[in-house]
Amino acid sequence: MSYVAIKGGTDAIRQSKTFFRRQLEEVESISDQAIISGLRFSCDRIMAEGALYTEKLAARAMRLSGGDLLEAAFYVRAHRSTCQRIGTAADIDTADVHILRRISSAFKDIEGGQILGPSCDYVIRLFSSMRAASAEPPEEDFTSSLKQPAIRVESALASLRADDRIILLDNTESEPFDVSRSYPLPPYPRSAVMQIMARGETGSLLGFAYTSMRGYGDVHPTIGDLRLGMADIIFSHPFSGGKVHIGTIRITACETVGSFSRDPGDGKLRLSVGFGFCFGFNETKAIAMSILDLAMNHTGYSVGGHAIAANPEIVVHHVDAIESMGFTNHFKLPHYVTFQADLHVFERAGKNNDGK
Amino acid sequence: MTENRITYGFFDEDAKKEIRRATLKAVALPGYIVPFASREMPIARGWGTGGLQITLAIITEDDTLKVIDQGCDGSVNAVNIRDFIVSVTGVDETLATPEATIIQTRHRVPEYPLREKQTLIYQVPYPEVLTTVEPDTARQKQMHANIDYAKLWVLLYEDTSQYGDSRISSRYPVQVNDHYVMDPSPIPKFDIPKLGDNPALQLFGAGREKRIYAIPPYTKVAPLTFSDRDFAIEDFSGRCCERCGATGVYLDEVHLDTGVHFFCSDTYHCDSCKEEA
Repeated sequence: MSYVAIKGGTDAIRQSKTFFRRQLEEVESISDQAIISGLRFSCDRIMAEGALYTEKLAARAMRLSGGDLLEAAFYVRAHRSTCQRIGTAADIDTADVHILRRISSAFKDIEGGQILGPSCDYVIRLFSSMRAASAEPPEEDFTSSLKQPAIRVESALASLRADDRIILLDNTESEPFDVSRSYPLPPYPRSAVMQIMARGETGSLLGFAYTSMRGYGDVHPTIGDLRLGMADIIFSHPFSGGKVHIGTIRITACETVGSFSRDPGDGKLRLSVGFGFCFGFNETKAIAMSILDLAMNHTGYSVGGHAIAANPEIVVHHVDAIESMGFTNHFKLPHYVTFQADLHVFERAGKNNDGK
Repeated sequence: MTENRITYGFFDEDAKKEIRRATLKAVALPGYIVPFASREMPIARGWGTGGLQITLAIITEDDTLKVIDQGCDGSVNAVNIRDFIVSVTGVDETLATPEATIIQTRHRVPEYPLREKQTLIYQVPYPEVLTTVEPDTARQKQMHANIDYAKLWVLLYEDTSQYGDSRISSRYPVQVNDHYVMDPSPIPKFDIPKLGDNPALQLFGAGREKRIYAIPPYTKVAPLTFSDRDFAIEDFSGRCCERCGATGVYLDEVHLDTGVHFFCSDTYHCDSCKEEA
């Protein structure tokens, strides 16, 4: 009887897919541009967690998934698997990005200035205030600054660095690891951990970072430099070898200062710094990532290396939502065989126990 | 737009090469788990992406494909995976175990004995057998290198002393070629004796955990058991499949208002028994 039910699988799947599509029909009235522009923070999460900078496919994924961001990022990742990697772009120097917003909570006055830019930090989250805010026209076109050439703005921590007061971690990697081409084994290269976090899910990174600031760790972070801006992507032309500008992406970068500790290099006391970076504008993610970087690389705080967030095994294997979401949902698959095996072992144990 | 540009076997050629290399290494080191990059697939992690990646990396136009989930070809996930593989390769599909050259499976070894030149590809949720006793990846690697499975033996001992036998029902740890102990994927204990000395190549893919491992044909595989205890498989004695009458096969227990019923878990086997009768 169960057999008959199972045989209907093909048709049931088809109907279920149609039902799913049909309930989302109205999404077709939302244009790509409306999603890319008006729901940009959703697109940014999809691109960062999907590990591919593509606004158009992000918008499309958003529509296909009915706005479920985990599902949408999943579409982008799956597409990414079909793309050949043609090379590595030149490094992005965060001092060179075209800044839209840049703040430091470490210093009042910083070279280049505190630039608030567009931010929801000071928005009063009242439904009624929405109308008032939108009724006021902006005093000037805030995008006008982007039309001017980028000015190099060093990190607000540059002066501390120049004074040799920041721990420089040993860099033993000749070139960055690529987690999409091979998977690292412990001890995990820092570049691999950074990539995993940059692709990681905002909520997961936030949760683990929060453990470190709240109770299971001792990272007391100060945001040294948080910046949002446009970064130019420079690529070597495959034939001419010349430098080619292939596009501009929006990025978020964050440097966070932790406590001071003994520099493993020369034993002097220096400040520890963590770094976070992601596609798109996502300040929460970049800050959380910088805190995790700090916790994993400077484990000398009060609880030592035993804090959850200080353990690369925890972070590396548990922040990717494509994986955790998929696995969580797989429990919906039939487990008849294993459950049957469970029952047999359970019955046997019961018989063995009754004898006692 | 993107749909039309999918290459044979979904992946780009570099991805296939990397998966094949990891697979070859796995075959050369029976039972050893080899890390690989593990691409994201259009089906979710935990739904068979590891097995699927191996299948897509090794499948050729001459192959005939069978996909089963819990022994059943018609189970929703098996249908979905088979449709996807066929859509990106155009290979022939079959339900008949002896006709298939590649069988992707979740949680079962087919009842019909496998032969040479067949490849059985298992979908694996937890590739590392030591995870339950040692979650740290670096220490796991050391323990494997030293053939140090003391913690597993303690786990088995504690269960046996308390419950008379291990509480492990599926994913029973097996030692391959007298060296690596591996997780055979969540197959029932009933299927464990089929792993060893099997004429077919057995490949194991864990997509989420990014690991591939293998049992080459005719390799010694033994479950971890104490010398004074028998390895007890699920006991279906006195029962047969109500549909085809088969005995000596793994049965699914079905609870209905008419009572408890038993049917073959392997649907191809059930169909062929019924035809013969």
